Amino acid sequence: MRLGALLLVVLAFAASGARCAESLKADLSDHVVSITTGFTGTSLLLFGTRQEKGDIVIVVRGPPSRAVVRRRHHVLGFWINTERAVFEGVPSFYATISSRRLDDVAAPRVLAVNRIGIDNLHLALRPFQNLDQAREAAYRAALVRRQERSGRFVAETGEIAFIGDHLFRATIAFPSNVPVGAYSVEVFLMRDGAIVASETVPLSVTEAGVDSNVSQFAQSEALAYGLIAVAATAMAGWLASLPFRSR
Amino acid sequence: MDIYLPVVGMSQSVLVLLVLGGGVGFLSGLFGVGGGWLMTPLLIFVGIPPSFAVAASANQLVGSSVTGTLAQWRRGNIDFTMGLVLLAGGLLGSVLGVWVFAELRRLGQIEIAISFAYIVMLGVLGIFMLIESLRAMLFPRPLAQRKLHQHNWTHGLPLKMRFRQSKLYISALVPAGVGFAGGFLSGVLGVGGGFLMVPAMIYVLDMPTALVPGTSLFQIIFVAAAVTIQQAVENGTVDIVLALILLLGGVVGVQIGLRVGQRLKGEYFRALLGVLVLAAAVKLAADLTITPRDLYSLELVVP
Repeated sequence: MRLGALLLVVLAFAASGARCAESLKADLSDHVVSITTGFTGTSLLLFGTRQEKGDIVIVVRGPPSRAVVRRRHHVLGFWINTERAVFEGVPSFYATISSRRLDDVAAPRVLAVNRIGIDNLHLALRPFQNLDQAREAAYRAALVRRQERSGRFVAETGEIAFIGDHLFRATIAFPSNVPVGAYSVEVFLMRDGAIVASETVPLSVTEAGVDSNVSQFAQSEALAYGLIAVAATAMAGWLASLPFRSR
Repeated sequence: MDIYLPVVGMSQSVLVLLVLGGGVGFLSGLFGVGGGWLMTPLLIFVGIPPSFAVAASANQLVGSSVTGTLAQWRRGNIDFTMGLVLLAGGLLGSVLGVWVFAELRRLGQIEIAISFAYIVMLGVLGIFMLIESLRAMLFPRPLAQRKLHQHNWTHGLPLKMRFRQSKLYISALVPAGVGFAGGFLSGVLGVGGGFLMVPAMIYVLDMPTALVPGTSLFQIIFVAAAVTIQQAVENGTVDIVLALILLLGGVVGVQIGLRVGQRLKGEYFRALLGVLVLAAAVKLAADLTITPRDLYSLELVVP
């Protein structure tokens, strides 16, 4: 049912795209990712049309966050966090999906200016941290490595399906630990190493249902939340003792 | 089936959590020990970050100690006067404990501090349990008759108070101090502190043994409640969904443990538990001493 409706939308897109002769049009199957009680990760379908030949690059960017990278040192036989570096404005989620390898699609300068690709992210160190260049580079590499390992920095190549000359679609996967917030999905049409057209689709990842209320309430009304947490478990403990009262 | 824990911000298998809560409950029912000191490290083992594990552990402890207290109260095994004095110290201790917790978290040392504290605690506890049960196995009768009422240095302290039910006339500072130590551990580690308070109440306060578990449980309700509220306000780490699932498993586990425990010979199982506890301490120590696969760790803070 949903797939059929989607197909209709895609076809309508194809038709309207042909009329307006816009070089690039794209949209998502859903503009909201809802994290509910059973959330174990999800994927969205991105579909679009291109009126000119060229490569497609999709960049998904999560809300900026502060990243604290800590390094362990061997102290008296134990591995203990002794050093840290703080980065500001790090995308909490970042994924690229490209029809070919990024280096083959666009000139290095184009990628750098538009911050396309994990290597081109602007990971700004918070000022006054007294790190020499070698250590700064090590921290930067560790930040990227940790994010990649937890599935929050992703680079996929060749995962875009083309249907005929115009239509294309791709699947954007979000892991279960996807950060909450406002996302942007940028779609680029590239040819001869340059950007021909681009389009940005908004996306929001939110906690939904009971869970969103719980976590919001826990943040905004911490005291009341704490009291409720105590009351709920105390009540549950009392209820639990009822069936065994005779003993 | 997975469930999303809203405050922790990650999904976890419901079955794993139920089994974990049930297992800890089973052990507390079987051995008559509180389960908090086992709950936190087990939660860390299954991947819950230590700061959230401590808070959930304290929160579920409120429920499990209510159940335990009600059972003891029906048998008339609670000295409420003593409980309130212990509690006064406990609340002060918990404030200090939660503050230390928040400071360590700010410094990025909380995970190591919790692991380290557990290594010491589980190590000492495991050895103590092994020795105690081995002695019970080898020498079935008590070694020496303790004097009915021993006088030690604590009897020189001021603020003497009469505890009618415990038949004691001692300085209120002693139980308050015992409570303070328990409350501090509760704040930092999310444990009830029963494993520390129970021996202290028997050997330092000289309370009648029958009154000890009930009185200890009674005051743990309030200390655990205070820790939960403080963790919620100071650190925002209390996940009520996690706590309730653990409690649900625990409730069933305790009852099974109690029934099994009535039929089994205690000392062999205490020895086994001692080995298990030591194994957990060794595992935690290994995690801290073996060269980690990645020396770097990352914490994302969304402003």
